[in-house]
Amino acid sequence: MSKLFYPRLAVSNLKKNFRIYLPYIFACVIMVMMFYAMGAIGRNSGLDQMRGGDFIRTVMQWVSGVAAGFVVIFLFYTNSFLIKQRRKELGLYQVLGMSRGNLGHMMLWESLITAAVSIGAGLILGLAFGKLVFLIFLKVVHFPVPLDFTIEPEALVSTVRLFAAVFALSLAYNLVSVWRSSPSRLISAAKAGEKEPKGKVIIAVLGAAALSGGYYLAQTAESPLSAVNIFFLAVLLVIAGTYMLFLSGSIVFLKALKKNKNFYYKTGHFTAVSGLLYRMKQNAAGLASICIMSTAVIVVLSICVSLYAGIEDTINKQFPADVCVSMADSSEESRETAEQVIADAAAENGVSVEDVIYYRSFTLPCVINGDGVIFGNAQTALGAEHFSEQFRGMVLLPLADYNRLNGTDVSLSDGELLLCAGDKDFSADTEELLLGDRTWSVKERIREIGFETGDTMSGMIGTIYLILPDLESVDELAGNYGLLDEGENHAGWTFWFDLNGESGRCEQMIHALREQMSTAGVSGEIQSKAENRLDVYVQNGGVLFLGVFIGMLFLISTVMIIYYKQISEGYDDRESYQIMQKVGMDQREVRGAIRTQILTVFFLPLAAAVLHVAFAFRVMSMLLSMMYMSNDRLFLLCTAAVSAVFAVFYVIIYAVTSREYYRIVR
Amino acid sequence: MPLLDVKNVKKIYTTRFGGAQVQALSDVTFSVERGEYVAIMGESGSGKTTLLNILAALDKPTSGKVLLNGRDLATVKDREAAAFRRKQLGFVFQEFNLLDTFSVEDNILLPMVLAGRKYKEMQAALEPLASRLGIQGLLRKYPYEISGGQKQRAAVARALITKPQIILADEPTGALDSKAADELMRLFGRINREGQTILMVTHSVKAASSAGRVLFIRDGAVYHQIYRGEQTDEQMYQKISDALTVLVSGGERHE
Repeated sequence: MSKLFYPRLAVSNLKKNFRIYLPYIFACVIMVMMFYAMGAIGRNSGLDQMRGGDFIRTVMQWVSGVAAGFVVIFLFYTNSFLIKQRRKELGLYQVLGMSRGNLGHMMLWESLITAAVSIGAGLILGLAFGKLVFLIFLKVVHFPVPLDFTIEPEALVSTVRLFAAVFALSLAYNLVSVWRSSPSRLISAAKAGEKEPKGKVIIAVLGAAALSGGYYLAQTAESPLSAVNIFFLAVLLVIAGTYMLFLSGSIVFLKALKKNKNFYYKTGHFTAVSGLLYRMKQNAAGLASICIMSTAVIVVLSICVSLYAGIEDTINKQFPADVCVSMADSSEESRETAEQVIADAAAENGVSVEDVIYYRSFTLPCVINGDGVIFGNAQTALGAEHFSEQFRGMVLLPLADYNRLNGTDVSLSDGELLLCAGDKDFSADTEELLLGDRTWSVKERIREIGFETGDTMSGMIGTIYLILPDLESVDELAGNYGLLDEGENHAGWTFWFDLNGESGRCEQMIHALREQMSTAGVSGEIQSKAENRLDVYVQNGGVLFLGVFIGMLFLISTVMIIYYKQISEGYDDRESYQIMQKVGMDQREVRGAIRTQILTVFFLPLAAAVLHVAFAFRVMSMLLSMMYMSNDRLFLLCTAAVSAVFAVFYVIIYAVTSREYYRIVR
Repeated sequence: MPLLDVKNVKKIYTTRFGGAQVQALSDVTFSVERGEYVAIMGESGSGKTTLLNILAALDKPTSGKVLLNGRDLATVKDREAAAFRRKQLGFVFQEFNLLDTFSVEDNILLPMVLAGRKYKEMQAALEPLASRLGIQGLLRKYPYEISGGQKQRAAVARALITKPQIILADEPTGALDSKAADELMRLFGRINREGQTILMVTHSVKAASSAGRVLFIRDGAVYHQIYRGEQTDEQMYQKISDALTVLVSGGERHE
């Protein structure tokens, strides 16, 4: 026997089975490519120069870990399908006199070839397209300087190791499954008749209840903070409901159709209903998984795309003006010094400062409790569930600053305050407010604070503004309840101003301001919109990039699962359709019946996924508002766009796989 | 006018690559009268299956004509071929060809559903037929739950339900044990006496001996035929055996 006998045999086997091996290898190549590109970007030394590069690195590593787990599960699953399709062929080899050793030898070569082709091609493509992906990545995060995309040996090694392990694992599984069954059982592929599936009405009802429960939770969640917990519960309920409805609900429904004789005994319905009944039995779990995966892809991508598309919105919300200087000091001298330093830094760098506002304030966390608020360690006082609903940021302002900035002439006597809070926080006729252990009388409820303060607490929790009679009252409350370090619990100045000038000069001005503030002895924190924009682009851009990466992994696996389902069903259905043609069904009717079934099986998961997304929309927009993104229209647009793109992909898969299916059945 | 008239049918297959030609039928001529029960016998490769496919309008002859009820099958367009088969012909196959996804009842009703008939009509047709064939008890069952003989009876019911002009049976006893085969042949005899025309292709002498006339095919042509006349099944069996001996030993052609 020639040395090359087994390799040759392996190659010819792979060629013969190209219809099932080609998509598998294709998926492997893409996954190797993506995995390598991701690993190489995460290890690029250029990230060190980037603002937030560490963040990207950490997230990339984390995602690589998740992706690795996903790749293992998915490729292993696909492999188990492949080997099932080849049982007959492998059994035949045994009957023709191949020993288990021979068979193992042959399968080893098949695995080696598949692995070599997949990993080799994947790495070559990864090296070639990695650079492109990297450039796109830099563009997405708005990084101005092009970094080199170098070959990262570590990434190469870890990619090869992961995929080699997957192939080894698959081979081991294949060998065990072939060795354990006898050739005759391999050949006579389960021809035993299948029992008509039993749909358990109770499971269907439970599924409907779980699904509507999940939907209801998603529609009634109140605050973004509690939405986080509720969202997880809702997700679990929807997943459970989806599986139960696909597994049992579909069968109960089809059986009901079958009971309606006048409906059932119609040319179009007859074959479709009974065919679907059997298909659902075999595929319900797979279809439910596809539905859940599709939902996940759409949700993740919509959120990532919206975060990215809404970056400007987000920044404008956080930064009502270009620069914010916040100081720990509330003395008049410090304010004058700071004003001078700002003016000097601007003049030095040739930019002009505009629309300056300044005020004294102190911010502290609190918890609303009826007609009062609790400070300090409120979590233990109220219990965690109230804590999240009632948690607020409180901004204390002295009356003088309020009057100055609004041009008003309000007066407050001791023990009086002006309250500015959300409508739901306190009842409209609240006259007294208990702050800690002192009761204040509310002189007036004001709608708007009247000047920009920046949304300090993100959209996660609301903010309560209290205008107190004088600075001393602010300092007193701050001193009693503030959570900062000893000695820092008092009001401080905050400046907001815009910069007018060339962006490079503005940047220099900020740097200069930082240095000069500390040399002038007025400590303060300086935040600039421009710098913050860079950070947000790196963060949200990075998140978008990873979202697309994971979305693509999901999409590829969905495609593969659908493809293999179609192929295996094609072989199963082939006989049935041949019998029907013999009994007098013409080609067009056969095509029609097949189309009904494929369409249902294909688009049921997609339709369910879109429905899930529609119901999740409200909670998703709440979660987004926690990340400063609260433009619902933009989010709606992004979700619709993502769903549409996904649907287009889905239709393409449908077109390709149903063609393969016809080819088999015909 | 005979119900089925086969005139000088010739069928040549050309292999897909190259021009190698295989002559499956050289010159087949015979006719079947209304109410007749005809068996066609022949060895493997004699052209029986090709002939049956042509009679079923699944295949077209290279030359010659097949007339069913005076209509030339060549004029049946592809688009109406399925409807034609459904209305005019009933099929019984060796492998039963029942669909596992349907109950016995639904399998029997399949041709009527395909023809777009009303459910009431189906029930009206099914009930007497089921009791005639003794399969009332099987209707709710699924093909994988019943025996071969029962399956074949269900298949016969499916063939009969559209009241076809002729039943075409392809080795109907091929997958049955001898007891089930005998029962099926008795059933064929009975439905034939009730007026149903049957054309059966078979290997089995036993099966053929229940027919009213037996045609022998060899090398793509009708080689010999035997009429039952007043003979019993046993005498018929003997005659067929004798004819086959001559056929196999390659005797002179006579008719």
